[in-house]
Amino acid sequence: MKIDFELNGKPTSVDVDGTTPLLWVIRDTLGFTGTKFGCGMAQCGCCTIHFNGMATRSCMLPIQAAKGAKITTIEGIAKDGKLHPVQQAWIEKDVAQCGYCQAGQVMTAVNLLERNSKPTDEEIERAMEGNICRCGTYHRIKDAVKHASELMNNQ
Amino acid sequence: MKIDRRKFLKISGASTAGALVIGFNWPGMVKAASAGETELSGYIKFLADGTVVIMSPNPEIGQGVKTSMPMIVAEEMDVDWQKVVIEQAALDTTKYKRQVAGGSGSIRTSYKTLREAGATIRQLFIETAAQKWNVKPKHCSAKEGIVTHKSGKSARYEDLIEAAKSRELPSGVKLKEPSEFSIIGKGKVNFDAEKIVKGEMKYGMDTVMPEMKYAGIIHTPAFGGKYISHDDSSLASSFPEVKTYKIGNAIAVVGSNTWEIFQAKKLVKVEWELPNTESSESQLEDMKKMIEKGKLKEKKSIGDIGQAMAQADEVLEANYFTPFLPHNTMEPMNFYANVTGNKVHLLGPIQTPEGTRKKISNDLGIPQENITLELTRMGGGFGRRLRNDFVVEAAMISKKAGVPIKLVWTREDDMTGGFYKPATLHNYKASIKEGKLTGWELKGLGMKSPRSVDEKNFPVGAIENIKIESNVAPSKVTTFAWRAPNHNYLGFSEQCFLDEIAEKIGKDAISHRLEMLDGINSEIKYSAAKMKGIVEKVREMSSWRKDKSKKQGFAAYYSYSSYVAMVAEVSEVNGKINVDKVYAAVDCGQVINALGAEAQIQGSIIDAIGHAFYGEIKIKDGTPQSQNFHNYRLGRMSCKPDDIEVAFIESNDDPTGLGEPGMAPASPAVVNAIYQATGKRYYNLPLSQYGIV
Ligand code: FES
Ligand code: FES
Repeated sequence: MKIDFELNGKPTSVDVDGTTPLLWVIRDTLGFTGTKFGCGMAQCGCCTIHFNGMATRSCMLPIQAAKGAKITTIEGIAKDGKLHPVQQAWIEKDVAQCGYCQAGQVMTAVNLLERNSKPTDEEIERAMEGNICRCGTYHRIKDAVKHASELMNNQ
Repeated sequence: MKIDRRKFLKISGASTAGALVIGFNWPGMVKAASAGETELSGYIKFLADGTVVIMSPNPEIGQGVKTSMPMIVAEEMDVDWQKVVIEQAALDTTKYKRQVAGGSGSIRTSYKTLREAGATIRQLFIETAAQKWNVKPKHCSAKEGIVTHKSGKSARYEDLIEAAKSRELPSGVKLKEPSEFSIIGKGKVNFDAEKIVKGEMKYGMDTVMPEMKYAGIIHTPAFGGKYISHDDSSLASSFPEVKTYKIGNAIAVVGSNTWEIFQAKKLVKVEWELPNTESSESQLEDMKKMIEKGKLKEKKSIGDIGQAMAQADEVLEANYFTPFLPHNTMEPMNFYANVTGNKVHLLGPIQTPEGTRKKISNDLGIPQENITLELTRMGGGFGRRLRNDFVVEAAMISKKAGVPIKLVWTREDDMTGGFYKPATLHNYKASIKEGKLTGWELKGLGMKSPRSVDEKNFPVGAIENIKIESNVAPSKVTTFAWRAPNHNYLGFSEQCFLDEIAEKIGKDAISHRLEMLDGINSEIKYSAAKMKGIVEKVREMSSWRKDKSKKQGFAAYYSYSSYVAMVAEVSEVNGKINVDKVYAAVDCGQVINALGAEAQIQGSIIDAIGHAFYGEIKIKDGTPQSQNFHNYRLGRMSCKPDDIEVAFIESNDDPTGLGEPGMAPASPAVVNAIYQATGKRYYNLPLSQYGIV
């Protein structure tokens, strides 16, 4: 089935089984491997993308639901070669250990700050609760979200 | 390091025009970078534009060696860190020794060699410049990639490359004094940080190669299960291109993309012989019986434990249980394999590339030199990727299917088909006489694991009468090393029991520990002075028990040659425990990367607490009862301490391990604090079973 949508600002068209989860279309069909597979059950957050501006798990979202949607992946967060403040904060706070979960963490954080540019500690914790990190980088994730919030508000 | 100077440095002409390539073993013997090789066989490369490429040989699993090992070389080479580029080296036993990520050993085993290598190269540039200027080398110095003569004359390393090529490497070079360090001990951001946050970092899961097919695997649902037959006829209608192959005791499914093989797997019917009747309950019963019946082997006996117990004013006894835990690396197991005739190409995440190549060579009957193994950054290891079962599967599938394949395990494959942290039962007895701990008896059992006690570690040496026994409890569940193997759960039970003992004696937990350490006079593998150092440090940092409203718990543990003491503060809100703060004092010798070192301790604390709170895989009929994160809870943001404060003891001793030593003291510090907050002692993990987290 042919499906048209917008991926990282570019019109994109694929011809795949409509029940294929968006994650696998992004990764296998289109070759954007920044979005990760962790559980396939919408439980870990590794596969988080933005779907019409909302942080969404792509591993259980059938591609047919993406008709005409605006989708952003981790590869589409930096604009014109300039890192997003969240990415910059993640580097400055040296968040990543193995790094595998971090694309999903960054996507969730970007979406949180788009909706709420000065989140409280509690709001940060609630928003990030869905993204698992086995390396235990939560302490720095929280620091980095706060730092990103400052960077964004000072821009 | 014995450097054969002629071999150490070899100019590779055409293939590296303008560049200086230096090969040395990292660590170990020296190998030349020969001119004919197009692959970079040396692994420090100076480019004409000033860039310094350093190859990092050890597998990167998130422990930070890809940044910290090159930091050591760059320090002694005296180059500008901004100009350093790090590349992951492939497996090459002719060049590298111990290409392993495990046992917190990467830095521990290579510190000196890396420094000597760096210093040798620095001296080479100094001597090159000195000859050019016709001055004495000792009147020249180097800093950030520039050699300067006392007259003020200077030259950049990159401008000395051509002249350096015809020189021999200097020997007997002097290493820096720690006071001269400008890179070691500073905080450097993870070298791959930017690639990671841009989604550009390639993990094994992301491998795409020409002609590559995708493979899935169907394992026995229960430990100890045996394949009988399978029926893939229902594939024909939906997935006519998908093929199945029997691989050992499993069925492989090969198709053209990941989603296709995930779907196809569900359509293949496999008949298994499932004789395993083990359950978590039966396992615990079996372990209890083994201890009751004394089915144990002696590991250590000092003094007369029988007499100590008989003469005691009081004997304290406690049993501690910890469950099986899957590794749950966020990146599920995967590997790329291409077996063509007598050649194998492997690419993916593995902590033990050398052993893996040997195993593949044996299993496939292909000589090791025909097997190329390349490493990807790993989405976590924690011991799981010390095993190579999935690499063997990938190679067998490629061989049978006759195509290059990437094997991808699902989370369910990963969680149910792993090598768990062994479930353990520890039985402790302590004899107390006249306010003193006089005897310590430990009986430890590990399910399918010989490692449940540590007869060389504290408190051995600190108590007059000691008896330690252990044994393996039989099970069909496969177990293996899991971050800080043995120490993680031994630390929990031992440090909780010591807390209870101190209370019984009527002493403050930290004062009691310091007294115990003061009493040490026998030969032991840990340093009582260093252990005292961290205990005193954490006492000071945490203002230990000064503010009675703060409910604090203490633990200290020695592992991987490092010392870590922690104080946890918790509070109880509506019956639920919140970890307010954890203080950690660490003695790991010389800190290499201040940022990375702190991250390892912070991460270990959170990892250990998350597992102590929720981690558990139950068994029924030999089958794991959790399959994915909907019914297995890993620690999430909410279980992290509100604050973490880490202090490193200033030290110029050789660096020790850091990826694991933070694990053991974290959960007992929290559990001991919970006792202060609630008056209840908890003996079994996870704590979720008590409804308090
Ligand atoms: S892979 Fe989608 S949430 Fe885990
Ligand atoms: S950084 Fe390793 S899982 Fe999050």
